[in-house]
Amino acid sequence: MEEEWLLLAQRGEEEAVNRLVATYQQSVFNLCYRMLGEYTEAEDAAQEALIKAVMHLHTYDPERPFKPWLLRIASNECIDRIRRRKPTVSLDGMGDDGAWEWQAGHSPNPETEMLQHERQAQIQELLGSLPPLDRSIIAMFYWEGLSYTEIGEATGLSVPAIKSRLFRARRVMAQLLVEEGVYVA
Amino acid sequence: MLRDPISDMHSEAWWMRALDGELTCAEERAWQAHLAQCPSCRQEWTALTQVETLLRTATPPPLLPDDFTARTVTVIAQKQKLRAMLRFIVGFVLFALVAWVGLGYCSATLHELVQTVGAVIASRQILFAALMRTLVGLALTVKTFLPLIAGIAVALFLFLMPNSVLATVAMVRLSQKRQARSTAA
Repeated sequence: MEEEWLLLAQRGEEEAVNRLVATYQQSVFNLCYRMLGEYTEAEDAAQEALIKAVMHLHTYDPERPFKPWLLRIASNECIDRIRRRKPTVSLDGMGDDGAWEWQAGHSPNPETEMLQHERQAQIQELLGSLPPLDRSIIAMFYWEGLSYTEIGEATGLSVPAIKSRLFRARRVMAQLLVEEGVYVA
Repeated sequence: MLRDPISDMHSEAWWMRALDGELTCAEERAWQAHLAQCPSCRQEWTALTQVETLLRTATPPPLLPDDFTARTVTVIAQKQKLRAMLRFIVGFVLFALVAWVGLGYCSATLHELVQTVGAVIASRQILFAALMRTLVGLALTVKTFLPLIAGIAVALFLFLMPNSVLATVAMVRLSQKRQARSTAA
């Protein structure tokens, strides 16, 4: 079924393109958000990644899974954006607009909201300590539910390399937790 | 059976297997016993499991705005139109270029052909004029020498005429002369 409308989207059918965007936009945005840590920039990156994906659909091999292919484009877009950033820009926490978005969330309980915000900021801080590719691997593994093989498809790395990078990334984050005293013995 | 339990447990491969829950029951028991005895491993393991918990229980990123799909699809449609237009323009320019080169080549060839035909026609006229002049000259030359040519022709005629004919002519002339003399007498 998905193959059919992907094929239609490849031919430029607006309805199929609409469906493709609607189906994958949140996954793409989630990855961008985890990698960039800022709502507005993540939204821009997600839109750019989706546009690039649709414009380059003719290069997609229907024999391979679509989601890793799409997330690879999103990941590359985010890596480019991170590289273009000035070195002084910090990745810790969300930006002002991100924090505002979070505070204007759905939870009626301000304390829960605040706690979630803090945890979110903590995760972003931990992710910010990693190289962009590792951030992308972490996001795909934990939040997009991709298997090692699919992450390999998305990043172009082998499964042992993915496992190793994933472990080292977690170790870096664990060390950061210990250094910051967040770690509870 | 563990080959070298302590060095195995301090290896990256072991930690990766432990984090992924891939240890056997015996290995798990040995691992827990080791953690109880080794403070540095215990601290790192606790921090790692905290990171694991933090990542697995992270709140999902905020949702995209409702108009995101429509905005993205609109941009994609615009880009597709632009691409189609660019393709048309590039195609048209290429066609025009090929046509221009082709027409230029054809024009040069046609020009050469016209020149050749013109030269042929001019040559024919020159040849015709020369022929006419030659014929006229010949005619004039023939007119000047006409009495001589006629004399030669008569002489040749007479010279080549059979004797019997000459004898007959001579007899006729002689008899005419005698008749004329007798009439006069």
